[in-house]
Amino acid sequence: MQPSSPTGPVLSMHDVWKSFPTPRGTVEVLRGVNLEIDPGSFVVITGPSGSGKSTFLNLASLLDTPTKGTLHFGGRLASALNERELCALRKERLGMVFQKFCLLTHRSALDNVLFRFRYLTSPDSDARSRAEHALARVGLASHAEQPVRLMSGGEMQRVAIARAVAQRPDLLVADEPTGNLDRAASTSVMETFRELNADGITILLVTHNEALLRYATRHLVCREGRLEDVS
Amino acid sequence: MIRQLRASLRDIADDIRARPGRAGLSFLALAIGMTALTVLLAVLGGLQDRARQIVEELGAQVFAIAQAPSDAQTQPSLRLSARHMDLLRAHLPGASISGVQLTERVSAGGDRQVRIVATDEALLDIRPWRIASGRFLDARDLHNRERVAVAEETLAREWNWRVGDVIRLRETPYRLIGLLRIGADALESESTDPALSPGDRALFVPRTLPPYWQFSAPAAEPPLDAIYIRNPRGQSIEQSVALARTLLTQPDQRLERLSFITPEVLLQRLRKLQDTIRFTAGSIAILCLVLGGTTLMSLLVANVRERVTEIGLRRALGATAQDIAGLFVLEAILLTAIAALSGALGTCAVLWMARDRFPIPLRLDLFVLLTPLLVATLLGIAFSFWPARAAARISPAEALRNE
Ligand SMILES: Nc1ncnc2c1ncn2[C@@H]1O[C@H](COP(=O)(O)OP(=O)(O)OP(=O)(O)O)[C@@H](O)[C@H]1O
Ligand SMILES: [Mg+2]
Repeated sequence: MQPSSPTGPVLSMHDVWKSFPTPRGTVEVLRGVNLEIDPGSFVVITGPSGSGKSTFLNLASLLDTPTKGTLHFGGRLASALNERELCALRKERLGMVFQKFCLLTHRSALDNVLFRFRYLTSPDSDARSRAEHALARVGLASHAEQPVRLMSGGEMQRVAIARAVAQRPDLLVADEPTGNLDRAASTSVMETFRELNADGITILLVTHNEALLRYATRHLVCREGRLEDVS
Repeated sequence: MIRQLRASLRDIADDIRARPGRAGLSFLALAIGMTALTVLLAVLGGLQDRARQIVEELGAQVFAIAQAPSDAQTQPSLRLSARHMDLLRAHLPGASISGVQLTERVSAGGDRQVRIVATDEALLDIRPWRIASGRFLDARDLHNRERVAVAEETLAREWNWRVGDVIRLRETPYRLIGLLRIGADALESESTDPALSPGDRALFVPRTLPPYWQFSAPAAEPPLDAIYIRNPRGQSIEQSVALARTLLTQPDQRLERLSFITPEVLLQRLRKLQDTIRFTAGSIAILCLVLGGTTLMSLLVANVRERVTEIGLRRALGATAQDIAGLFVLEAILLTAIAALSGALGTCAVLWMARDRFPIPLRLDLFVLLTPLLVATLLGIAFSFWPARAAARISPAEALRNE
């Protein structure tokens, strides 16, 4: 699969709505999101709790589908893709980082990064060298064989980032990646993101920490189910 | 493909290592079930082999009429005798008929004991035995009351007898004229043969001979212990048995305690045993397997619940719903298959070592080993279906929601 053309937006949403059925009726979480994310940008999204940031990220990372509206990923209309094609896009073009790391705690750092290739068909040796390279990039080359349960939170999150970028993604999505980290660890994680962005990886990051806005090239606020640019 | 399988195996090994207790418990339950199943298969297979052997030994077209030994007071006229053979011969044209009289075990020198079977030349037509060397008794031996004997081959080998030797039973010399090969364990096995009991070492002599302690001619009609009949062609064995029964149980024959032994009669006991075992061991095996299966299912259900985040991660990394389902199904199949293999192998090993002391014959072959494996695979698929489907239906967004 060819990477999307560098000129078009990585992700674009047009009048995207998302609602969830609940016992107390339908909840409209996103109410008409319009947005285009350009390649190479570092987008940071803030907003009150429950405003729909995670819901938006799930749509952006193709884990969920909009109730209404159109979503293009790399120029392809998501609603026109079948389950298999969505899975293929997720494994080849997307990287995800989570607040609680989502690591396989009893495996080593390198094995966790290698897990990125679990559903890809790249040859073993290639996967291994790319995983080692990704670990080196987040500054953990010397921790490759260490079981992740023995690592600090900051190190774990960097392993998770290495996993996300071992297969170079068109879009790196992170939902409160520093939410469980102290200031020093947050800084080292954010520096890692900055370096990746400098390398050309497009980043979409959600946070409650206003201090992280200084890394952003673009700041969006999520409010009442809509995303607004803040300059 | 291979790579994916290897990765799946690694994932499964990881999961089992993370939850050894739960996996161990369902493994144990399954292995016990598989043990029961293996015993069942080995025993039923053994009985089936035995049944086939019985029919082969006696011959499908052969039946015997035996009379239980009576006390010394019984008048000779109440015993089976050559007269009855003539009667049967008259009504069953074309049948081979042979009479057999068993003597007590007699000493053949030292502490060696043989069972002397007094019979006639027709016996060899009826029983599936073969002459190993020399010849069997013939009509002339019978007519002339020759003091000749035919020995069972292994007996002769053990005691170093050769055709042409003169052997002594008590003080009486007999000339050995032939060696007989009797089916592998025909004499050792339980008494399918009314004339021979287990462990007998048989020596065949003409039944017209007076017993060795009697040098004069025998009483007019020496009693017989059994009459063997090979059913004539073109007549069903049931008909022949019915006819023989009618002839010999007429009141004027005054024959008591007769039994009519056909392969069918011999098989009946075995069939009853087979049914009993099928029902008892079978229900135990089924119960154990269902128990093992449900334990496995609860293991998988709990696994799915515990691994929701991991499932979400896998989906985020590109796993399809089928990939997720496959992981749980494969884990189940692997667990059941290993349980089956160890259960079946262990059981076969134990049965093999104890086979001599086991009260019933056993069959230990590839079928007995591989059937549990097949059953295990089916069990694994059946009991993992639900949990796997549940896992596959977890939406990735929800799975990652609360990490
Ligand atoms: N699957 C769902 N079913 C029902 N309601 C949902 C579902 N997912 C999200 N919601 C609701 O949508 C709203 C937005 O949730 P979301 O997780 O997107 O908020 P958020 O902005 O990420 O909040 P936080 O900053 O606390 O993480 C919440 O009110 C939540 O209860
Ligand atoms: Mg959130």
